[in-house]
Amino acid sequence: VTLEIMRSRLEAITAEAEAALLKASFSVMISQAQDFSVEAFSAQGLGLAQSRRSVSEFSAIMPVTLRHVLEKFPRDVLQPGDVFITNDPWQCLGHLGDITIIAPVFAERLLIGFMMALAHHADVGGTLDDTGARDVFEEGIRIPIQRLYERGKVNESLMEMLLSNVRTPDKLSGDLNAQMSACDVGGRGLVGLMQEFQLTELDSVGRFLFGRAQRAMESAIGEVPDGDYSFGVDMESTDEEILRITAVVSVHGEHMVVDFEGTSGQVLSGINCAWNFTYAESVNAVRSVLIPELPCTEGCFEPIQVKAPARSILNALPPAPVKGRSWTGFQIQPVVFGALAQVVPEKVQAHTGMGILIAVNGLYASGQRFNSHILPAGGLGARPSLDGINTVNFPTSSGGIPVEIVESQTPLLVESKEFVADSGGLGRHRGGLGQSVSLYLPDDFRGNCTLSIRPQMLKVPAIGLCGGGSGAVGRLTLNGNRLTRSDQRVQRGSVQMRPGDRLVTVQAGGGGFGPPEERLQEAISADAIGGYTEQRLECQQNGLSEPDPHIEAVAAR
Amino acid sequence: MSDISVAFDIGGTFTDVVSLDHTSGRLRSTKILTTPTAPAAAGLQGISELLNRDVTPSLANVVHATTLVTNAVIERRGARVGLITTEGFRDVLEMRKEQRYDVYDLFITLPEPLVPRHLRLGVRERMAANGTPWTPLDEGGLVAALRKLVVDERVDAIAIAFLHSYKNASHEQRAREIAESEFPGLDVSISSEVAPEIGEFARVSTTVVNAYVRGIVREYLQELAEGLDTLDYKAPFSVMLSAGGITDRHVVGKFPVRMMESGPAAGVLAAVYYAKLLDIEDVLSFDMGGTTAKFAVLRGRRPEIVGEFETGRVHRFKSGSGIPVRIPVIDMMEIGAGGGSIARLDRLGLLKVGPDSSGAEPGPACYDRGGTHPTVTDADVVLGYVDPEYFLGGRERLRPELAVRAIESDVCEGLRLGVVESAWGIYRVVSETMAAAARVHMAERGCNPLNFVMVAFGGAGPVHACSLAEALQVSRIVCPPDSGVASALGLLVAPTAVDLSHSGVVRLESVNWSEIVALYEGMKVQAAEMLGTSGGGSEWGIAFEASVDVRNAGQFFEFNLSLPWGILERGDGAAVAGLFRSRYEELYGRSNVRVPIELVNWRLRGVVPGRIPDTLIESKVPRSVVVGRLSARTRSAWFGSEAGFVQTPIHRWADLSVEDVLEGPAIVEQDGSTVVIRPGWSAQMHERGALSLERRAVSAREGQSG
Repeated sequence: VTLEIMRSRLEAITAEAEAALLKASFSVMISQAQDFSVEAFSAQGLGLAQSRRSVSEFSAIMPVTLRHVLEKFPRDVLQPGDVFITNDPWQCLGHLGDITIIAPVFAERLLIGFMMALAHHADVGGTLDDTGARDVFEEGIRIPIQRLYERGKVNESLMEMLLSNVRTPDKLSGDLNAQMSACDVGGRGLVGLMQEFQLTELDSVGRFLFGRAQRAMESAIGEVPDGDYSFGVDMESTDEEILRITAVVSVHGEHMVVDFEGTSGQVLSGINCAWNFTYAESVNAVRSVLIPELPCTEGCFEPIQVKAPARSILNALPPAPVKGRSWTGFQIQPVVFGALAQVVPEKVQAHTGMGILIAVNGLYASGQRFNSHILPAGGLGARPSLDGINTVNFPTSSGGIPVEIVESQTPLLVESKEFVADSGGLGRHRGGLGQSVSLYLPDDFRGNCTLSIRPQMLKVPAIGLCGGGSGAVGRLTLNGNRLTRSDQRVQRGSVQMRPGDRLVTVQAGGGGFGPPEERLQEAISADAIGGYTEQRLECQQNGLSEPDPHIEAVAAR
Repeated sequence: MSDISVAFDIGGTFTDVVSLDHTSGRLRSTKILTTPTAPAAAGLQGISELLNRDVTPSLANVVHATTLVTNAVIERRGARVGLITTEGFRDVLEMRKEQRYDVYDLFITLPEPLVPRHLRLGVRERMAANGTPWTPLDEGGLVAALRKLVVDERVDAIAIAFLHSYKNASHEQRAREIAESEFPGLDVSISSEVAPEIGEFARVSTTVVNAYVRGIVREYLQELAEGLDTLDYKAPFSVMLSAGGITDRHVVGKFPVRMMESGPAAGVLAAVYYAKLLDIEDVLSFDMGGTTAKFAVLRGRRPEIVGEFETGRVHRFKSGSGIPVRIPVIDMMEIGAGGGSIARLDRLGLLKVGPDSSGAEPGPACYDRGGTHPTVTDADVVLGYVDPEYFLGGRERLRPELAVRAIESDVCEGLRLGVVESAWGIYRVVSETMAAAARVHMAERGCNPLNFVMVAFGGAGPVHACSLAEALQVSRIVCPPDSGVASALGLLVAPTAVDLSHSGVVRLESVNWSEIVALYEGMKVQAAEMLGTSGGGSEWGIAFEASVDVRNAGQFFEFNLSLPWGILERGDGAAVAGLFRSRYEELYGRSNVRVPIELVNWRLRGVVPGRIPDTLIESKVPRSVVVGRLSARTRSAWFGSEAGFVQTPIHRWADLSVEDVLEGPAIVEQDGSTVVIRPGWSAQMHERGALSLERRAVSAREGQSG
């Protein structure tokens, strides 16, 4: 029972550390999008606890990062007060924006464990265009594993170097401070825990948790019938070229292999995934399907092996650009779900409509700088027993930014933000609806306003599962005309807005689940009354599949 | 002729009623089953029951709290509401935050919006972010929308929420005017009045909830007023708000959403009251009932007020799964740990307690009402803490053998432990779960538990207070008498107060202080109206306190900073910056001087200093005649495997005298609860009628073994 008490205490320690990070942070990516992870490790590098709001994917990778740190700085050179830093995409989380802080924790002179805090930073220099870089060097400053603090004393040259390479040095230093506070708080907690329970080490707790998690995952995999299950989806690149992501999920007893053989090769755009991100997304997809309530420690990933061909878009090698990795990485979970749908259809989810991310930057006529994000979500894929939720993000846990805040921070007027009727894929359970957002730059605006746009799913829809139809694709128009990357108004993924311009984005809907003719009459009528369906109603009533799976959404107004 | 105040708290299961005789200081209480279909009835019944014991009672006032509003939302018993928004934004209510509240679960659901999509209509109008009208209100379109909703769709109430109305409310006000003249008697709630804060989803959501419950609350207040009339007690009655102030019923009739958390708020005020009686500065209020435990941190006995709260959650303990309401509410943390919380082994084979609860039905296994899963109360019975024969003062009997059976089947086997060790595990895990939550809650507010005194109440609070205090390293606990009805008692000691707020995000250096002073003058007038005081200027007799939510520009978490009037009137920005930095350092350890300060919400609290009796509780605890005369009745209770079962002295609360000192282990039984004094603790009855527990200096390790 003492172990239960300790587990609970460890969770409280990481929760306190997380609170320190969240409250002291400056980046919207940390506080609003909650793109971070705080985790405690034993001296041997075994995971003890991950904070509650941490991004689940990250816990698969943090032990890997820690091992890289220890290769470079073996345990015997670590000193109390040391703090390490890195953002290497191939050693951490797959793009430069995620900076990891690693702090060894000492009780007296004895190394007892590590605190790690990873956070997505507002800016790390490099191109503003998520996907436009040709290599990783254009994407910002790359920090190899370095000692940021030595025995409590900051490495001034390194810090100066970092701060002079980013656009918002105040935010970077503030957020790094927040990460270090989190490690301080967590470290103090670990020391206190050991004193209270009179422990001499934390490794045995780590080993215990690792073993329990591993066994739980093994037995969950054991319940899945053996076999090879394959699935693939198309995906458009930034050039609107069609790429393919395919996976074979092989189950043998209590072991599982996810192999992405056959996936398209790496491209000359930031949508490549470095291996660690692919691994993290894959194992988490399996966990979400088989055993979602399992506490996230490395042990639960042990029975799962992931493979992707080198130089494929899911295993891009340096110096490939990787900044916009989630473009591709967010396709991994749907692919794994599609494969597992063949054997555990009751536990998966159809493909989700991806939102169009927009970053707003510029200057008011007064010379004052502004920036904000508009992150409208697409429709969630339908589930075997439930419709997809309208306009919700997946797999990221981040949320949208209120219109009133966007308008307070930028000169833009958001003219409408509404569901797009008929955009959810048909099925026994309907895909979630996408939304249309209209952005207008007032014609009396005298400044400079740039929208960096990351359009996804303009051609290839979110597909349904088990007989469900695809969601509607998204759309992007400027003053009523379809906008493509080759448009002369688009420079490196950005549009320079002119006064009076109106940009409308339509986010894709989610895929449906199950045959549409099985949809309950009540659900069909409810959709019609609420106006969630308009034109498609007839198809539903006649039990027909939709006429054209690539049907374009009709923008509201 | 005696002068009596009465308070009642209508809970989901019980209605607690307390009366206080101001002349004699006599306090009486009773517990009655809640009557969900006619919620006022139980309160009225309780009042007459208590008052009939007096010969010539005269009712001074009636104060109450209720879960009526919350329950109406949870059970979806509210009005049919139509929502009118700015054209193009009718889906804001349903889009919510576009975020999943649980990243692991693929099967999450969200609460159905209180207004279905076909009853949400947009009308042409628009304010820009700075409050200048961009598009005028289309009055013809508005009338058409109203007709569609009221005539065709037969809605009972209208909610109006336009973008940026917190900055300029004129379109909303005009819309209401039109609605009221077009449909006299129609319930209209406008967002600039209900929740004038930036962030359209939370504001719309709050306005809709307000419209949704307004009819129910009006009927209820009517029923109560008439009931009191028929009882022949012509007493004014008032209502507790979520922020802990009491106010006139007419305010509540207009803004019923504000009484949502009135019950828990009243509990916190009871803790404040006992802290005052015992002269304690920093308090951790710990209220553990059947389903949940609630914590509140009261620095200098002051509850913190926060601006948002979530109700009607699909998953009770998952934040983000409910309906947000922006109202002033006492900052509390609630977790799923109560007497009814269920114990089981999780996927790792580890023991877990809660957050789900067996509730009142079927209840813990030992209630013998069909519950088969072991709960915290079952463990408490097996450990000998709770007397099966003296539950609720002997009104209920428990069956310990059912508790044993439930623990054996769900816990023992997996843990390979005996039933007593398993029960001990449940007891320790629930304590640790609460400790973890309390620790994080306190850490987030920059508090160190070491310096706090715990006030423990609620049916299960005093049973678990010692072990929770040990886990938190808190060394002093106060248990009030009648812990079970402490919330109702809190109502009697609450000040008459209202809280108002206004959004206006601005950098400190660009604050126009004369505008702010004018804003506060307006808010003061509104507060005076809400407090039902007439007249003007200082004649109001209201104490006003100003505060502002602040943050570093670019951050997304604000904290509340109180603003002395002098600083406000002088427009002393430097002084505000100084206050900000020192509080920031207290909270986060370090502050960043280079980052500008942003002020987000301006808040005002108006308090009418009431007659808060210092001697509310009859201070008639008898002096001990002979020290050590205390009863020799004992029961065996388990305090860890090292000690094993210990023959533990059992006392009745009423038998204790001032200066009686009890050395742990010992147990004190109340009608509604049981105080477990663990080894290492000693307890003394305070002359004001509360039991004060102190921990002797020991290592934290003690009692953790097993």
